[in-house]
Amino acid sequence: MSEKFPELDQVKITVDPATRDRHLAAIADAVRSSRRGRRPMRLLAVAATLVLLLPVMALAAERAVPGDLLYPIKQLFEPAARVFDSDISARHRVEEVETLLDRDAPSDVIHDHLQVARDTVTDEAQDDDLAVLTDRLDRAHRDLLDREREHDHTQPTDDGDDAPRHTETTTTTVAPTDSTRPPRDG
Amino acid sequence: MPSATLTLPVEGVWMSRSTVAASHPLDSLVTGVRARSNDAFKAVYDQMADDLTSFAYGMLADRRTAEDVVQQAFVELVKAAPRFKGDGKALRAWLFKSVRFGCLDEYRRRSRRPEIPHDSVPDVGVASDLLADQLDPRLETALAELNSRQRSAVLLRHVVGLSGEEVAQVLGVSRKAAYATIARAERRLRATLGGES
Repeated sequence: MSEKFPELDQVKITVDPATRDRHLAAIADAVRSSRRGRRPMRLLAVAATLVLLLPVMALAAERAVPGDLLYPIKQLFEPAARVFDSDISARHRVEEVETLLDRDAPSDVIHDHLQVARDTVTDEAQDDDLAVLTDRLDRAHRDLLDREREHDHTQPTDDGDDAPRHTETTTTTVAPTDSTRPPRDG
Repeated sequence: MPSATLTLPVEGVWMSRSTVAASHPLDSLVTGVRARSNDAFKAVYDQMADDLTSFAYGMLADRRTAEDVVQQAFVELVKAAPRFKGDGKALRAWLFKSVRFGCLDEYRRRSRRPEIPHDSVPDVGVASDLLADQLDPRLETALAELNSRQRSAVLLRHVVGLSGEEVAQVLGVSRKAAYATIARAERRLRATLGGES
């Protein structure tokens, strides 16, 4: 009882059982719907994030080469992209060899990837692209051999002999010609 | 959890006697509320429903609307529960705040609704339980004389029995401002009621 204002006691009420039941039913409904609504909302949020992120990731991975963090993502998207563009894998492998060369990657890495690229081009390139891609690979190979030769010239030998050292490459199939790199296609 | 327990039930309301952190009856239910446990909401409802409804009734002078506002406050609590931070005392303050906002919304709705003159309403078909729930017109007028903050303060203090600090928490003001509001509301209420209290 309020000592200062006894009149206020008439404001104090007790919730009757019918009202209590009605309120508790409404609370239980709210609990049920909040549980129901939570999972689809989460799934929707994850799906929306993926939908927004996938094109960004695919775009970012487009220029990835072996050894890059995004390279597996590029490989992941390739089978789907091949449905619309049957040459995409062959073209990607050739571009990767060229990018590795531009980045001055270790020779053994480029040689390995050159072999992978040749296999892919042979297996997957369409007739009209086959010649162009093979040509690009040959040029890349020549560039690689030039680079190795230049490297050998500048490296001092252990026995003091400054004569050019012969480099043995098992994959040498195209004879290198001039030292200036011709412009690439595409 | 608080290190010391110093609580005493005063007029059915648990109040802290000093600044020492005291445990609150709702403390043990907060975890369940956050996890949206139906049992926890039921227990909170059983502890709080009478006080919340009384407060809303004093604010609105209409029992049915007061009950609706309390129900809505609990539905809002269910929605906000996972994000709720605080102890039992904070939960109690949250509920009073929510009911207060519900009452303020109802004021706004009423102000938009056209007034129907009392003498044009036929005096038939009014259920006896509704008549029984009506406030004494003198008290209703006295409460209507207060602004919404003063009305909230005086009801929280004298009907629910909250401390000045708890009133401050519900009104979202400093303790000093809450005490000043309570004092002003008491003076005005006493004057309107005839000063016999």
